[in-house]
Amino acid sequence: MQQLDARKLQCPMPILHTKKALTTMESGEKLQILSSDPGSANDMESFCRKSGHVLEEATESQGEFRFIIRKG
Amino acid sequence: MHTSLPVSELSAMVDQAVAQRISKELLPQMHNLQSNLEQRLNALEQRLPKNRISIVLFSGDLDRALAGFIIANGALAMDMEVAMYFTFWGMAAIKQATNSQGKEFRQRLMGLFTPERSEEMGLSQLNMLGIGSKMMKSMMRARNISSLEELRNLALEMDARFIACTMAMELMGIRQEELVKGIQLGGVATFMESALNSRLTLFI
Repeated sequence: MQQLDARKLQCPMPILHTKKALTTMESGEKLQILSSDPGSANDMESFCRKSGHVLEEATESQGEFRFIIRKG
Repeated sequence: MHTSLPVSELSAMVDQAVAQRISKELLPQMHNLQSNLEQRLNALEQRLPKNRISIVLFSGDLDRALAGFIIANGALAMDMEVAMYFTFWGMAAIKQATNSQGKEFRQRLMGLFTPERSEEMGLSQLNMLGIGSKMMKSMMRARNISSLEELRNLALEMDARFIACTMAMELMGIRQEELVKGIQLGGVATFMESALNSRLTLFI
């Protein structure tokens, strides 16, 4: 699974880097993203809904967010 | 008296007559109908919104321009087309330098009292003669928030369409070489066509 460390990045950077990473991937492949931006929880959901990707996992622990996106 | 034809021959004749009739009368009609339909579909498609956002940046305030560029980058990340129009004070957001040579006196004055380049833009509030703006930018750096210039370059890299208003350029005496690379020129019709085919239009 591809990894993306978006910690310490602020809006809109986590979404931009996610999109950039996804464009290099094949449909069905998965991407794990780490983020420290509390807004990214809602952002990733919206991003996936509007871009045809699947947000498979979204977890948070101690201010760190972890997402797994399956490319649509 | 009638001579009887074999059924197979008769049916072949009927088939042929029908085929002739179809190709002579029905086919041209179908063809007309199809081209008519295609024309109407094309006209309809031209009026349908694309997955696009059009943004007018009228303001020359750093904070407002930042909001505009952040929205543009978000839209690009979500696979939307972005068209950004820069007019009046908003031109400051795409200026890389000011060169007063060859400008009339009032245009030089205008250049003197507006940001020389985007890095000089001030805040809409708490600007305090530029101190507020400098403070805000150092706070942004400390928090790893992208600068206006970074966001602008990112948007351009992702094929956002940036259009500078030629009327504002003419009025203020701004030349294309004073703007950052990759800016197209246009007027209100360029904006209107884009806005009419956008799902979202913002005036900032």
